Amino acid sequence: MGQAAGTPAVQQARTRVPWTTIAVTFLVAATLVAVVLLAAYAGPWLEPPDRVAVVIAVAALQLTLAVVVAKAAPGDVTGPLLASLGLILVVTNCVRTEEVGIFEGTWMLLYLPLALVLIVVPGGRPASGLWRVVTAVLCGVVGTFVVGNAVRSTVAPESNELTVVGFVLLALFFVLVVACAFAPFARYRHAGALERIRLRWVLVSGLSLPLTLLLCWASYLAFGTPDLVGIGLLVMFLAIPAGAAIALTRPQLFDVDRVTVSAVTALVLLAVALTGLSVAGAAAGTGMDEWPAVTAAVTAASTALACVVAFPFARRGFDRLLYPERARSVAQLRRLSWRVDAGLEGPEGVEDVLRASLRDPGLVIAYRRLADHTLVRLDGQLVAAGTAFTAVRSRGEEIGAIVPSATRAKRPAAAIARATAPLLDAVRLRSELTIAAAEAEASRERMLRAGYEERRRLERDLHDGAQQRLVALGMQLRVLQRGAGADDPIAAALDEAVAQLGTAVVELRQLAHGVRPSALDDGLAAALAELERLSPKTIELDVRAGELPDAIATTAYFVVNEAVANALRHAEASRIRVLVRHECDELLVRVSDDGCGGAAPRTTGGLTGLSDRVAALGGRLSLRSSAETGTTVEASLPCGS
Amino acid sequence: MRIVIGEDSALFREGMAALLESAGHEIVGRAATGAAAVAQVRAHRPDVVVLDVRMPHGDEGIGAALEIRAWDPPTPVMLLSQHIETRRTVELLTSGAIGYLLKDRVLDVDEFLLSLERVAAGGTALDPDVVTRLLGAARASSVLDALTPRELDVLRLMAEGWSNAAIGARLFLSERTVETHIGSVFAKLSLDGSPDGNRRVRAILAYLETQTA
Repeated sequence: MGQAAGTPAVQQARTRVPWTTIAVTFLVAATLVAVVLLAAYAGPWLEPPDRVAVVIAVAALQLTLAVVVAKAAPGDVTGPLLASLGLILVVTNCVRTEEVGIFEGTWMLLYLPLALVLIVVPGGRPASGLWRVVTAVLCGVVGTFVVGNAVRSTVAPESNELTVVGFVLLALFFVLVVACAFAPFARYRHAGALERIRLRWVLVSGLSLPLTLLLCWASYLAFGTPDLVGIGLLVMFLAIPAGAAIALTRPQLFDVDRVTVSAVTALVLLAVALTGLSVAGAAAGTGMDEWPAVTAAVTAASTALACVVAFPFARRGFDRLLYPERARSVAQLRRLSWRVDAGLEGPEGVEDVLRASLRDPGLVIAYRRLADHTLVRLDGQLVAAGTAFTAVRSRGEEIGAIVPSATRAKRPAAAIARATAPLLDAVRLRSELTIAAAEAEASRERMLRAGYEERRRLERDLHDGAQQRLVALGMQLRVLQRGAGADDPIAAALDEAVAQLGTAVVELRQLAHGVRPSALDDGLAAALAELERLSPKTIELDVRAGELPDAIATTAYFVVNEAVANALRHAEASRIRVLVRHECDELLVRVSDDGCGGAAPRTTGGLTGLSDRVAALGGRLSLRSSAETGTTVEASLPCGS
Repeated sequence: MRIVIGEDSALFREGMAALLESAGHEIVGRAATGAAAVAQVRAHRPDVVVLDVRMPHGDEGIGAALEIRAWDPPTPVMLLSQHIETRRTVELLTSGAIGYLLKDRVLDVDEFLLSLERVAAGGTALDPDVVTRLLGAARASSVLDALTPRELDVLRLMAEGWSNAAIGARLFLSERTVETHIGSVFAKLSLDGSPDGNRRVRAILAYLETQTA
């Protein structure tokens, strides 16, 4: 391998193609050539066609996985290892090796890539010096065994006995292969979080080994021969490459914990069933293979049915046993869901529940905003891009995420995300609604303030512009008038013109006053006093209000102005009373009359507009009107500084 | 009289100058900013200054008036404004030899000239709107509840700066009746009723100011 890595390194510098791609390409080509050659020349030594077809199909899958791995992890030796597995499988399993002496020891080759995959995944190299030694010795043993067998079969084809050297090599081989099965465990202890997830995939795929053993047991039990082992081996030859490929390319593809629990459950159930059948056989005195066909079939079918029924329960049990944290989380989330449904709690508690049950105080629940799908926390803070999280889905749409602390690279399980989904959905809609409502309210208030500012400017412009010009014009006319002499008819005309100008100025002043009474600059009390002075009927003013924010004072003024105007216009009132009080961060404005009532928000459009203004500042406007008690308009405006 | 005009609108400034000259007064200085007006007053020592409250940089006129009033002896100032603002002016108004009128009062030339002369003589001339606003604010805080409507009318005219005789003429009352009302107002508001007209206005304004501040 060292040599293989050396030569192509030069090539990589020149062409930038990783050596693994070249190696995999070469091995795929070699496998194709081998298939063609075997089909053309193997003739009588070829295995039956159905077996050849299965072998080629498995090899094709392995080669595909090899290509995927080589693409996803260039420079990682795993790709070429998987590809070589395909080549070896074709060469050693399509030919009847017992017929061709030279091939006799090649079965050992088949296990070499699998053992090496267990040693190098993930990372592409043995974890330590010890494992490098194991790798080297294993390669040496397999090489010696294969070559030795080939030589022996050529030199002395008749001697079929196991030599001492052969026995030692076999023993060494078994010890080393079993050792390789422990390589991922040895690695696991020092692995980081993501590497652990990769290793879990390797370990899960390694469960195909006990499966093979259990199938061997089942085969002996049912048929008295180890035929089913072939299926187990087939599974192993696919499972380990697949596990390695997932570990290297998409470790987060599925929830590996879930896969592990399912696999362990299935194996344990299988073992229990086989034990039961064995005990039954022993009790009956005859092996199952000697039972009458019907009895055997019924027993097997009922056992299988029992396993199927027991599977979900057993899985839940193993889940609790292997991942107690997750089971606790899901149970607590269900309890919270129930309490939320019953109206006992708000869904916002979901974050605290998960923090407590997953023992991760830094865990954060985030949801995707409806407007732009950005991931935000419950307090509106953005979640940094690139943070690892478990997506939470509802109705096929990603609605949010569970974000563990940065120190915990392992993401919360999908089962937890599923239990979180209904709660997070509710949280999301609630907070989106709250934000939207607050935004609407804020924008309404902004518009109101902008409107008042606009009125103030317009009022100033009227005073400083048109009004000032008219007065200046009037002064010029007065000068002309004085020059004309008292009995000149021109003087009388000029006097009349100035009087007209004076009226225009007064009208302009009234217009500006309607836009915004300048008396408001001196406070609400001054503005209301002026309103009273200009009113045709006496208004009883009782104003006790200190300094108020401009928007509050202006709104209060318009409330009084409109209510008084209504009373004067429609109510035939004899008394109009205005009460203004500033108490406890609230301004109360009440305008009451003793008129004939009949005011309703719909008929008095001006009051509807007022109600909007008052609401924009977070206040309330109420209207009571009847023929007996007259009309009372009352507004309360919050004015906490 | 020798007069300085401080007014940023050229149209209005020249109109005012022409009007005052036609009435026989002498315009000794014209200024478009508060600072320029102060300089003109310092150079010419006029009998009275006519100042626009609002000039290019906000209410410059009030700043200029305050500066001129601080000198010894203070020059009388007539402030003109496009609209009433009492917040910054009340303090100024309590000092005497001061006027504060809306600009459109100028069109009633005879009364405007009378007011100007009163101010130049050390008296006070307040716009009825200013007085209404001060009284209104005081009334809103119910300090004037004790006064009868007639007494309120008298108080209003006193605050504008009129003499007892002028008040009587305007309200169709004898001067003696006016004096009775005034005595009653002063008693109800617990004010020191000095016979001097100007000090009387000052006392009223100071009183209104403390009640509305």
